[in-house]
Amino acid sequence: MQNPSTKKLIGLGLCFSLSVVFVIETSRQVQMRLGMVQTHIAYTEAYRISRDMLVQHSVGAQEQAPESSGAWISRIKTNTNDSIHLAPGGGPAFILNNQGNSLTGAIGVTATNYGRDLILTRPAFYKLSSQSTTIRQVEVVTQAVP
Amino acid sequence: MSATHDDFDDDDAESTPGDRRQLKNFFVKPRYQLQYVNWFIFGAFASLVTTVGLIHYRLRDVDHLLNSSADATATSQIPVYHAFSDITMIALAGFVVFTLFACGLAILINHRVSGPMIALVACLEGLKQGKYTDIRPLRNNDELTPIHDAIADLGRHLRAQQGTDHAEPVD
Repeated sequence: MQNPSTKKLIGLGLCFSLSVVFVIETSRQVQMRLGMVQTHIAYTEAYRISRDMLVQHSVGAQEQAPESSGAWISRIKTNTNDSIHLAPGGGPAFILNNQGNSLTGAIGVTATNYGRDLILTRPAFYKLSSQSTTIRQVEVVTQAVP
Repeated sequence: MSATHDDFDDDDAESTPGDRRQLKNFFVKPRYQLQYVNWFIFGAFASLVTTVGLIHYRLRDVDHLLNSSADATATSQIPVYHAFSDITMIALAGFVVFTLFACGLAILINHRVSGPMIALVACLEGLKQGKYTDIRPLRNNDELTPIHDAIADLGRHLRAQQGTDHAEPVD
């Protein structure tokens, strides 16, 4: 039969175990959200830079816009902070496809129409929903110069 | 909350000399060893659960913010930044609340132990001077009452013994 001391020790152990589980789980959840935020920031920054670039190219402030997906990725990386060059799950933050990578949180980059249209895809990373935006040079110019 | 003299006669954990060093006998007198520790554990656990709950609640907001923003502009990052600031503040607040609780508990324990200590020293000094019944009672909820009661018993016993000694005829 368990004596009172054993019961108390079991109670203490249970409290301690629960606390450890709570702390570890919360830490994991916060880390997960930080990864999601990093992916979201990479996505919004890529959108901002590519949109600005297309506007500058349209008004003649920039000689040539990137024509391929790879060139777009290079240009985005050149204009962004090093902290978002890596995906939260490892590997590059921007990859050549139209889906992204839901395992690493990498943003998918696809250029069409000789680089004049750009599709950026935020992957369904952890609890992040998949989101895609298409930046068309014609629309950007229309919005920039009403 | 305070222990009484009679409580010490009750064995919460019956132990034999052979199993004294076993882990199950760690709390030989749980009623005395844990009465403040229980409060401490309760405070720690309550503040931890509250902090963790609030953090999870704010993390759900982060999920909602990241998934509901239809635009991909940088302004959508601002509410997320605020949510993480709140999470940091919640964690710090939980730590501060627990620290205050622990400090309050430490002050309470100190109050309930140091007062009786002074009273007990005064009792012993009184006994040395022959004041066997001039023993100040302790406050309600004070600690060390079993020792105080034992000293009071000793005083009464010594007085009775002295009375008996004086009553004996001297040949």
